[in-house]
Amino acid sequence: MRILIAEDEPISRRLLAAALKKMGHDVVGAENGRAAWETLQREDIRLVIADWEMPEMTGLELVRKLREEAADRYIYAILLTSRGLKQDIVLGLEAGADDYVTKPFDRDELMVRIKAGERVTRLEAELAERNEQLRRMALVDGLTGIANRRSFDEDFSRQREHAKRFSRAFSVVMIDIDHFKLYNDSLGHEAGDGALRAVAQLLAGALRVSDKVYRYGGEEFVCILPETDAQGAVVVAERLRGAIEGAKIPHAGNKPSGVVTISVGVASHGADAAAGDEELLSRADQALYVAKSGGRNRVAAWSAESPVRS
Amino acid sequence: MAGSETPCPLDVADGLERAGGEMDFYKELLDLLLEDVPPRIVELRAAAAAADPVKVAGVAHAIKGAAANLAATPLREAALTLEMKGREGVASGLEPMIERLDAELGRLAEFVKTIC
Repeated sequence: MRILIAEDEPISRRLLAAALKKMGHDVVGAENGRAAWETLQREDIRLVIADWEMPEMTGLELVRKLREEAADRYIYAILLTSRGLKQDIVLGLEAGADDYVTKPFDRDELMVRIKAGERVTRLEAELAERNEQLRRMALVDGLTGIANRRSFDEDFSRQREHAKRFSRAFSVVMIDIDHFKLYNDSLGHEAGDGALRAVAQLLAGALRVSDKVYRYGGEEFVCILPETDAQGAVVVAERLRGAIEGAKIPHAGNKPSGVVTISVGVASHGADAAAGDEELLSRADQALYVAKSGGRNRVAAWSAESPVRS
Repeated sequence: MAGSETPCPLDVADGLERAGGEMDFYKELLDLLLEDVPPRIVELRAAAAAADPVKVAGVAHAIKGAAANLAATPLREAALTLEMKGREGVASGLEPMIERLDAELGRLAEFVKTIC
């Protein structure tokens, strides 16, 4: 593995480097704690051996800084000390060091301590990977495989901040499958799940690369269309509607077409819109209501004249 | 130290082991030590003249570490004595100790020439 040696004294540094290289490690050297810290900002290094006494920044200060500021990854830290005093060791470990080696170091001892460090860093890397997997899973809808409500909430607030800060337009599109309850009642929940999956895939396929569709809940979906004004959003929404209708998924209860269709509500945050973005979702919802009450299988864009859904 | 037998400036067997048993590498590091210490002795003299015990301790500590790494025990001990004085806050009367350190370095340099 890649190991950083922070040691001001050149002979000790070279001896350490030679010993570590012999063990098959890749070694990076730094002349003091400050230089070591800078190297750690640039490079993905998970194990550091730091001398206690160094100019600019001591090993103890480096370890403290690692624990306070390098929270994105775990860096295993071994302090190198010529002081074998118990209170120093306690101080070092308290500051956040994982282990210590007394100088002049013994090669065999160093080897087993490095091995212990490798074990810890490997476990930590596995754990971080699992956590990342879980985090990704937490943002995915289990049934349809597209992004879920939680993911939408995160992206929506980010998009809103971005739009506000840079005065950019963006739109949200609220989608509801027409008479989905009838579909479930007549064909069963398993078929209903299949229809949800199919609709999710069709919607995802009909969007542009920068757009994203989320399962909002039940038979509702929502899309975020960055950098898209109301006019553009209606075009996209119409394409979504057409894609679902065109797939001709049988749905006898949905008159008059007899296939699965969606109603779509569009609301936009204009580049010049100062207020109203908090209401964007409820506006999309109101537009969806307009589309529904207007006969379904259609797109409606929010306007100030839209009736408020009670 | 008058009257006592002067110890060997280097424990070659121990030092060689520290260098992974590679004589060339060990020699290279010894040369590095011999280059590294003289400017530090200049720093020590200046620190003593400026009555700066913290600086004395710091420089002596560095020499001690380097010497210990290569098993140059007498040099290490001479540096340790100075480091202790510095840590105790003593900054006067250090010259004889610095001279002793310098002398140990000289003995080491002579000794290193004899090993190959």
